[in-house]
Amino acid sequence: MLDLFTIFTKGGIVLWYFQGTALSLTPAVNALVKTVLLQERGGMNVFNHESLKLQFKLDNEFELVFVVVYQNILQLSYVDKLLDQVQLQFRDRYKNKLLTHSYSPSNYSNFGQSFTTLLNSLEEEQKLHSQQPKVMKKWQDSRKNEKLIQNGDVPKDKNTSNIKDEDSQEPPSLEDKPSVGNTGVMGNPLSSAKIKKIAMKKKTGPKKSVKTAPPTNGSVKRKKEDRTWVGVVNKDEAKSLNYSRDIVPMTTGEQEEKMDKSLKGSMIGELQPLQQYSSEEEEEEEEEEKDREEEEEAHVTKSSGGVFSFFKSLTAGRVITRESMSPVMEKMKEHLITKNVAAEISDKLCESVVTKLNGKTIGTFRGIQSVIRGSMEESLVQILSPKHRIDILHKAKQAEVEGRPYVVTFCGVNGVGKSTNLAKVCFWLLENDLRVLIAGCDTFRSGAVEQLKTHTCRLSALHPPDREGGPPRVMLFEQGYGKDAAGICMGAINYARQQRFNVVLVDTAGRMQDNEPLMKSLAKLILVNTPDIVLFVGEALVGNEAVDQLVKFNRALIDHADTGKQDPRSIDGIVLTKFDTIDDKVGAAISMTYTTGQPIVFIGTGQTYKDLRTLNVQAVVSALLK
Amino acid sequence: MDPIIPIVVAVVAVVITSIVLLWVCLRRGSKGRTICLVGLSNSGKTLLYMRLIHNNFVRTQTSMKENKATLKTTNKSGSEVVLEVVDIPGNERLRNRTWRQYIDALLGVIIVIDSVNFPQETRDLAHLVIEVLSEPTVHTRRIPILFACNKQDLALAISCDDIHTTLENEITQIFSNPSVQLDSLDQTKELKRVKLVSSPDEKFFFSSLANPVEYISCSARGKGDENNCTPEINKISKWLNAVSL
Repeated sequence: MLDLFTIFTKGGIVLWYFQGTALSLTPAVNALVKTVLLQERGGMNVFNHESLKLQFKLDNEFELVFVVVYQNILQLSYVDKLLDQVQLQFRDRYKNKLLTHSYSPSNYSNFGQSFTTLLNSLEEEQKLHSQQPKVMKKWQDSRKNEKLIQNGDVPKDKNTSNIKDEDSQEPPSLEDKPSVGNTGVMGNPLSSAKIKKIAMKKKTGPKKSVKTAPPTNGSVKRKKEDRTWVGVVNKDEAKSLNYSRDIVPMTTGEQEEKMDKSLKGSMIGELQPLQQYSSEEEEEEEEEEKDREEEEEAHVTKSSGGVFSFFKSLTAGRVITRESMSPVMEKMKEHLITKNVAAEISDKLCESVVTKLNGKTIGTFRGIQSVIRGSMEESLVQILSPKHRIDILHKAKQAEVEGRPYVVTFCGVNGVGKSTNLAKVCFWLLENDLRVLIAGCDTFRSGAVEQLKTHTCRLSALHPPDREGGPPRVMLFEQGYGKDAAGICMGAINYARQQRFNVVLVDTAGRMQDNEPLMKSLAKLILVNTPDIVLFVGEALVGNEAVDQLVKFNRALIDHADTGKQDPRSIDGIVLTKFDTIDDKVGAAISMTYTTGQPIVFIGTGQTYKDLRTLNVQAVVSALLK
Repeated sequence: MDPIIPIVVAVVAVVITSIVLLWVCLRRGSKGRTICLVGLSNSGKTLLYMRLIHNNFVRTQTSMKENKATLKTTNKSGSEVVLEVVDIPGNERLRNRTWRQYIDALLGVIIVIDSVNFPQETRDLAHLVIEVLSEPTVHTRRIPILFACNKQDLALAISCDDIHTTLENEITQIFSNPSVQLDSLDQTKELKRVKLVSSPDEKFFFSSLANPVEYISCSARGKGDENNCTPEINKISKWLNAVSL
């Protein structure tokens, strides 16, 4: 029934395996390691890969992983028990060999027999269990009862409550609103008299409202006045609202003078990473002191390690258990939530740290808190470190070699800073000698196209064409309001290809993740135009909403993709904006990266063109754990 | 009695500190004996490690942690030397952190390359090579580097020389974009990158490096099925002998 049962070390060496099929299942187990264990999702036990289900168990004392692989359609109830029992048996039997790290598989080959006996006994148990007639659940055992108890309702016995209700049937049924059909709220059938009373109530209801309507006939005929709608401006009011004659339209020459020329030349090269969080002077002193202290400590611990290691072998190490960790983990979870990490993400993170440390032995000189803190720091660094580098400059130049423009799409909910950060990215690309075309695919919000026009004017004033009358470095491709965004995007990409632009930045309209038709149209835009990278723009101020937004955006993109052609596109990177508004509550970065698994590509730290940074993993992690 | 006690205490303290210092000095003396196996995920590092240490075949999965063990080799003068071989996980997130722990005692680096999947992974591999070569310790101590083109037993494997030239071209291309020279994603204060080419237009050659670089083809798995395969890793053993001082 099982396809595979492996036991391998955390270093990757397979100690023993039992294979039920001829197919190689190594890629499935590798996928498990990559997605679950290395991305800190160790809290969930079950992982689905194609048509297979994988369940795993970690042994942190001897650094082993036990994995069971079976077909999705089977429902095996004994897998958990099997993992537990196999783990115990394996450990007891091979304790010595594991402690000495002798990992050649010939040492463990005689485990096969005990495994088959275990498996057979568990399968027998399951068969017997399934053959037993199923006992009907009592009300007390049901989940509804548990919920009622949890909510604080008095757990009455169902029979007694029925009897009581029959006595006082009249008042409660009149108070309760009549529901569909003949049964009331508690499931008691209403008598015909009550039904009549309810019907009477229904009839008298609308009559009351008719009486309050004013009499229409018998009064002087009034001339019909134009109805005044809220929000629509008529001609007279429009004149008074027109402020345009006070402003003289600026020519490009004047604009150049007024512009801050210091911006030019400041963003050449790779983006700067984020700075640390306290004031720089104080921080430098602090860090110098810390470095000195650390060096001394390290020196002392190195030498003392040599002397004490021989004492360590005498004193027994403590084993960490789930119970010993739970108070510290609770505090850690609350701490993360105060730092604006989404609640379910901090829960999952703490679960995965617990799974990683459960059963590990630590020396008696280290406290549990420092071990957990260290492990949490590792996990956070691992989550924030990108699994593959996104180097937009490099990829744009590669696309130039291939003769096509590199297309970047910005999507996100309303008001997060898409257009602003698009302009910043455009400035950075221009500084690095690339020609950029901005596609104005936000055809809904009033002023979106004008905003992009203004940005384009300023940017091309800062980066004029190479020679007089030469091709412009930055241009805006727009077709006004109301048109189809996907069509404009396609037109922009074709135009860019003809005019040899290096990068196309596509600005889309903000949309809520629950708005089904808008998500469909975004998915269509991405499906039809196949951009090279889809960036989700999220603000750092968002809390638990971040998870919901990302999950729904991803799902919408995958659901509406064309299954026939290729792998469905989902979000490829995250732009985290408004980072200057949060001091050290940087949890949104973790929530977003954990949900998608994609790296944070840009960080927006203000509203001028210079305020664009890359992620500094250490700074964010230290701010989170402070 | 009174004046004797502090003298005794002082003598005991001096004895203890001298023992501790001796211990530290002895441990320091044994540094400089680590060989690191680096490479991208799925290139065959763990299997190569098992072949070198235990000389047998094992199935492997993606490593989550590094593997380390000692290996005895004979150096040029014929005496036995004990080396520490470390297999660094290929996963990007773990690679940098783990690798840094073993740089101080580094004696040589083996970069394991998957010869079959090389065309798809060229850019990532080039970046890994640049990271390894621009590490200050590797550069100043002129640590020898061995490029092991693994999986040569498979039919689709690309030859060693092709890999050599393609990597050089890729690295040249990376350096020709001056904006992309320094990777500053996780900049720490002590990270000082070494410039490998003097000007962006210069073509990069491995032979221009101060480190001794060698290219060999090998097969950690060897032809045949699981129970009956002999690897071809003699050249690696020879290199290890040559490198150990």
